[in-house]
Amino acid sequence: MNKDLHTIEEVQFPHGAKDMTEFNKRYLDFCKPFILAVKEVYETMMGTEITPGKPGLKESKKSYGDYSSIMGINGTYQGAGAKKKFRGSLVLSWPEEVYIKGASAMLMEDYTEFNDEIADVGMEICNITMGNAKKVLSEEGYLIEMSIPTSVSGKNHEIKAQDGIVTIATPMECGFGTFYIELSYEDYDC
Amino acid sequence: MPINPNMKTIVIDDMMTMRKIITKMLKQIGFTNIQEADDGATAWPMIQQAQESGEPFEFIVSDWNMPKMSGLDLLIKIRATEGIKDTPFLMVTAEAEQSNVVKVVQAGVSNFVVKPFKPDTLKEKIAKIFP
Repeated sequence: MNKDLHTIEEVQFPHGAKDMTEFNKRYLDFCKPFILAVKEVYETMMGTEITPGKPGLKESKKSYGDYSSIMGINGTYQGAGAKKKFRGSLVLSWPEEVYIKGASAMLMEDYTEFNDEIADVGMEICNITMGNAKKVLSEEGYLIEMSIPTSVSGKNHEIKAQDGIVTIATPMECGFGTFYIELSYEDYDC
Repeated sequence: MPINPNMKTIVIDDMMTMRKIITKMLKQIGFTNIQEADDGATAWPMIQQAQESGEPFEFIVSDWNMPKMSGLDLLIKIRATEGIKDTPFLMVTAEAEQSNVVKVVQAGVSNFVVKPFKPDTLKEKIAKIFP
């Protein structure tokens, strides 16, 4: 296992659901490719290494950052004798300074404030992260239908996950500061 | 066919960010005549108009996943149109599953580059189209 991801195993899921062991495993399997993909995007296109911090369950609607990019996730899973549908979302959320520094590195320009030229940087990062994770997950039995990203901005903006879905948030420390990746996932029998 | 710096080129992506990155990288490689479009649906009339004016695009760099017309649909249209069907076409995609690679190869793509990529990777992909 990649040493950077060992902490994701520490996530404690809520008790009470049926067959949590298998669900936890599928959830964690599902999250890892996204963490690796966003690391790859930052290292390749912005020249900075990312160290994932300790993930945890997110229970508040309040975003971690000032700018968030979101992609819905829908698809089917077939593997280990099970066939399921799944749904969820990928959210990347940046504090303003971290967003602007990342956009400057990616576009090879020196931006000092948020403007229209860098407004879709977050969505592009989200899109590439999803595309790369989708490839890895397809090899593990998860077939994701690709969607188009959207964004939300503003201090203390809120993002509400679909009812009943568990969200794991992981801090991502890089040369520009810390941003967050949030993954919501739920699966159910076809 | 070696790269001609004045080659008429169009960069198509719904994200301004990726258009800016690709355009900047192309300029670093030496391209000077670059236009941009924000969707396959926006690019298609530009490509038709350029052909009708007698100055067709000589190189197309397009994203795959776009809201109105995908890069794959644009590629299929171009390969089915006399006069422009042989235009070199580089697909830029974040989706690198084997099934997707097969789709674009069958549709006649000249080469493809998977995001994220570095300038050197883009340069290598273009060099294989224009050896």
